Amino acid sequence: MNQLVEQHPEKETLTAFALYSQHSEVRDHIESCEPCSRHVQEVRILRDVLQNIPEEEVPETLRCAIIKAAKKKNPVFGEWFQFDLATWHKNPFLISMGLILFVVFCYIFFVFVL
Amino acid sequence: MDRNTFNEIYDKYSRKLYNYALWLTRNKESCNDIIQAVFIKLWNQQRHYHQDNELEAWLYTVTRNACMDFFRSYARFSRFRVKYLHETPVYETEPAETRAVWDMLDTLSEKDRSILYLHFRAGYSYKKIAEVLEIKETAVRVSAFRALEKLREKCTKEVYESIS
Repeated sequence: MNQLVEQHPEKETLTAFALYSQHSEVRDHIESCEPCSRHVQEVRILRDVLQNIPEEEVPETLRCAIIKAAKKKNPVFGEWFQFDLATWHKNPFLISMGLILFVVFCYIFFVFVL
Repeated sequence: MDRNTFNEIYDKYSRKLYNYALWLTRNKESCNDIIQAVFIKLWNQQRHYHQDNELEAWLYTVTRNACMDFFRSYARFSRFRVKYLHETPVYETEPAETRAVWDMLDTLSEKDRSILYLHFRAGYSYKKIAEVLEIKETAVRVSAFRALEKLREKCTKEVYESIS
């Protein structure tokens, strides 16, 4: 037993034992070795502390802010079909359609009417 | 991505990611920007994830990268970080023992804090963490043990008594 106490396990071995109960051969050593026992205890306390730090709540306004920012950056295709009189000139789909209609109208006018 | 899918993912992961970003930056305002950047990236993604695990790992990777970008955007990263954190302590209202732990965590690198968060809070295996951080599994394991050892050594007897 004394020999076991003198040969302290590696710190990594003690930590692995503290966290995952790996290296069960060190169990006997720990029972009779105060410094190693303290090491294991301290690692377990740290683990518990890390696991139990209280979580913060996500701000409620964040979801709306994200959706708003995402839409502004990259509007979904379906939204281009929505016709809004006030902002029609900002809609690339409506502008394209208007241009096409204008070209077709001009063609018809110059070829068939004149 | 349609709105319902986005909302589902947001409800499921926003809190985890927010706290992960907070764990790395310790600053609530920057976390809002970081989480916004992460979810905008998700919104713009056309890729569909068949498994939740895959999506979760991707979200953690993007969040960590966003945190690093946030730090990088300030040219003098280390000087900024110390100055910035001292100016805006997030956990001012926390109990003294929690603050003591945060102060200890602050002495670790971002990578080490990431590893500790993902292992002890998100419950990730070392293999999974290696995928998220894009490093080797053995490196993750060694970093985790060294970070814990560093924390253990920094923790004074009084701190142990107060937090145990």
